[in-house]
Amino acid sequence: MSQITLSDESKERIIKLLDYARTISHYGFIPMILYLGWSSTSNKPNIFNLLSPFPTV
Amino acid sequence: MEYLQKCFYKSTGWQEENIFPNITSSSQSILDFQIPNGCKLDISSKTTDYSASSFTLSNYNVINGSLAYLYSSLPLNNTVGTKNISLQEAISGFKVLEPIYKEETMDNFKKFGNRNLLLYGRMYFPGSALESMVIKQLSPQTQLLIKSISNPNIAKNGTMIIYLQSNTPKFSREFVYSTNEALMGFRCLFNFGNTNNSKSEYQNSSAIIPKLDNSMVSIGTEVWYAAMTMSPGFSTAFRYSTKSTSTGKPLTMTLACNPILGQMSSTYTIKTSVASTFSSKYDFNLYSYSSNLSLGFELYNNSKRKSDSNDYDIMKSSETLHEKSLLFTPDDKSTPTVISSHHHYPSDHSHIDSHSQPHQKETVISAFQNLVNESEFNSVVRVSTSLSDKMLKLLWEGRFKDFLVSAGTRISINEFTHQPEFNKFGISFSYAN
Amino acid sequence: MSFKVDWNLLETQSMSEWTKELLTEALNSGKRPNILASNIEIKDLNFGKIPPDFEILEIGELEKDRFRGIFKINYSGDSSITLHTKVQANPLKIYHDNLVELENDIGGSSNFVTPNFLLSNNEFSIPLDLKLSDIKINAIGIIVFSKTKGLTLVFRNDPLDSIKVSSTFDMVQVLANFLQKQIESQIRELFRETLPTVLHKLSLKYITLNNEFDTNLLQKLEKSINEEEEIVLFDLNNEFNNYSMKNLQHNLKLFNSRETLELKVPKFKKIIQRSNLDKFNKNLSPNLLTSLNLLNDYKLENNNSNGIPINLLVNKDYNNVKEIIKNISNIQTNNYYKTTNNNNNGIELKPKRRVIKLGKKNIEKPEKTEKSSPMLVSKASSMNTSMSRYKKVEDNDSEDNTLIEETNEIQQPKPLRSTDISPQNTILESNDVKDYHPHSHLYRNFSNSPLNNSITGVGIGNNYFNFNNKDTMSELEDSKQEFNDKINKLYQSKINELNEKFKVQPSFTLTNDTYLDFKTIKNRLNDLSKLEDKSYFDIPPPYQM
Repeated sequence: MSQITLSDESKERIIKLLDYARTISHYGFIPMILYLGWSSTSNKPNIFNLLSPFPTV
Repeated sequence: MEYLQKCFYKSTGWQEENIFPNITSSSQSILDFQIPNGCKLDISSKTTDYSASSFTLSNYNVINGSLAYLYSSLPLNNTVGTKNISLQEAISGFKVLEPIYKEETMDNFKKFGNRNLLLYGRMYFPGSALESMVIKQLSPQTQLLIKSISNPNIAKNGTMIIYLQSNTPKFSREFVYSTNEALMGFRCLFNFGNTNNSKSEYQNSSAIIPKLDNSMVSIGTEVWYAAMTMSPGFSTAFRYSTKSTSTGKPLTMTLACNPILGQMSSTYTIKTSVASTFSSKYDFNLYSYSSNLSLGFELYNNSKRKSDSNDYDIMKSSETLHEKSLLFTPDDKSTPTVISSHHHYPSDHSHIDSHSQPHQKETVISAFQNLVNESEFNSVVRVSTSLSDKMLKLLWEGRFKDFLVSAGTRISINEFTHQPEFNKFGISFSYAN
Repeated sequence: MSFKVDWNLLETQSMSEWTKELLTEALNSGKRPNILASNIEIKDLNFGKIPPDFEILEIGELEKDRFRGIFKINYSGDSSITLHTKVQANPLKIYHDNLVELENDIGGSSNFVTPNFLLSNNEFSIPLDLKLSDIKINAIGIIVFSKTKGLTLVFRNDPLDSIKVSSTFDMVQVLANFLQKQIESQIRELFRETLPTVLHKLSLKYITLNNEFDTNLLQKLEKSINEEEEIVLFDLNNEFNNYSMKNLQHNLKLFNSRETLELKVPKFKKIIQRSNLDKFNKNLSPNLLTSLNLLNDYKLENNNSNGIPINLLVNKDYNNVKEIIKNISNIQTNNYYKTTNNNNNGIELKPKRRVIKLGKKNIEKPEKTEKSSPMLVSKASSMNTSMSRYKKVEDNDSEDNTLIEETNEIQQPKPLRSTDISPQNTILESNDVKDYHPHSHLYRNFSNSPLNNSITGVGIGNNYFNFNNKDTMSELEDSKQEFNDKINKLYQSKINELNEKFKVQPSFTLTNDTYLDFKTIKNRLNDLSKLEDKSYFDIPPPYQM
């Protein structure tokens, strides 16, 4: 296994990158679920039906 | 949402009961039930077969709530709303284990392939904490379950826990890893007993059927190790689950043990009638000699049997069952295995009809089971006490105008004032479409 | 200097009970850490037979409100304390509890990421008895106590020499060592950080409830209430250093709020606020003019400035002026002495006076003339700044007039003139209008008496920046003039009445120059008010320019 010696700067950058990735995945997870749900049906429901948690009568 | 998860499991043929922690689930559900905190409202709806959403609102501490969305790559066709759902499904009670390898799952597997995926995310407000779960079925018998929570406000405390589970009727095994303190765990469970429940088996079997036929023995163990704090954990459990051959009433006995700390716990659970279950648990510690006895029961009420003309047999057998249970109990002399549906005085009956006997048993047991499944109950009351903790818990769950309501309270005796006091009270309404 | 401590006194039943209760409550306060399975109880606490040796090595400063000392304490007795608690011995239970707490904090209470331990997280608590004994303390510490800042205590060295920790885990050597190290470090931390901060807080609390002041105040209040007089706090307590910290902070907040344009002003309960109190305190605040008023029984209007109307010195014969100037000089000297001697450790500084040589150069000794120009006093209230602006016109003036000359370019502000007609002043020109020079507010309205400073400051209501237009000045001047005339007439008539009625002379000694005899002032004011509508305050004058 090759040892990668990272300089401090790149370590910081990687940490910052991980932080960004974490925030993005935190806020983007639910939209991803919604998108998948929307794309998997044939009759695409409109946005309101998709988002609303209340039962449609 | 947990219900939808159950539906997903059913569709994929995953026996969620067959994992080690659920070895004591029968007694746990009766003795260790959760009382809702504060007042909670829960509304869910299924937008399409593939996706669902849910909204909760609760006033525990401050007004808070959450919004959840679920996506499943498998269409969840078998969901029922709270209007029509049978209470036994919605509220987990006594679990009768039938580790059957369903044929349907193979079909599903072939149809949809290996890509069964469930995604679930819940966002809490205030304070955008996110709870998420991913279930990916890798093969008919293995799945990967990843759960995580993350809260950007509070000090980056994301925790993720990963389960790699493999589940067969005879054997289940899972590896667990959690990022919180680098916890690693391994759990496995072995089932022994007759796994096939098809009628053909019974008819082909020999005259003398061993009493362990419809019983199951399970043994499991778990090992844990938290790497960061160097804390180990180990426990084993043994379960014997059977159904009483005379009345078809299932009973379960478990014995769990933690050798490191010398803790032993034994439970006994029996479903005393169609509408009630009784359970007791005794804990004992070998090193510290502390012991605790807990008792609990659950009662379903307003049972209405489905007046379905197709199930006449069941009706009949249920009637006889009823009569038998009434007549049978005080008499000890009669052999328990000999009951004929046509005889009203079982004590006189001496010869055993070997052909009808397995048929009878099967009828009795499955009749009982069917009865339990088919009964429509409106509400259930659960009571649990714990003697050393001096605590009494009450929970009422039922259906009320399309809502599933659950209300509970906990009363304990204050150790200082020796007065009973209400510790907790909560009520929750849930509605699903 | 050492003390003999009677340690046996501590052994009383009530004392040990009280200490035990206090300690139990303190130890169990806050959230219990998950590692403890039950509360901490004190099983046994005894102070031992041997008292500590307490010695005061040195006392640095000892004053009325400050104390600084170095002391040495030495304890090697046999006191001990035993604690009893239960420790959670199952680490997975601690893990489980921590995680459940975390989840509850976040939102759901559903144990989402806690694995479902079957029996691995059962509760297994082990009782623990912990005994701390053989405490050896050897420390040299510095205590500084001041009435304003509280008590601070610093140890020069690490006080704890050794402590013996014994517990029920002594069998397990590893655990015993661990406990010993932990407890030692915690106790060192206690002495170094916790003890000084706690003592400091307590002392601040004690200071703000200053008992002495309170009891005296109560007595005086009772007395005054019975006589149904109006009470001015200044009356009861001439010194300004007995206010509670809390009130001072409130006042500071108020003062700071006046420096902004914020409309929201911190409120005090049951107090009406006047932002320009100096209008009402005109007659109370000590400044040169009021001192002179009392001294010489003038009735000059107090303009809240440090200026003296020039009329005092102008147009009079020299003897009067000499006397006036002598008074001024005395007042200033006393003030100077009073303020500077506080700061200079008792070394007397004589006020610096400018020396004016009159004429002949044969006179060797510089005389301290009385018609001196201002002293340069740094710390005293800068009454003096305006003194330099006086035009002292004297008849026998010297050629070397070191006073301010009117330069050509800069127009000097004209000095104050008073339009009062005091009974002892001979002539006051009635058309001596107060010159409302545009810049005159700088010297007139800004007064440095301590009351004014702390209350009005720079904020709204004070015309420091001369917000009023210069255009409207002339109109205002006229109306002001009328008003002033009316007031003066009224005042004059009242004074005449009073003089006839009471014939009161101020009982006033020269040694007490800058402090006013408030009793007389109040008496007079009361009389005035009794004559009038029984309202204490005059009608507030309109805003001055």
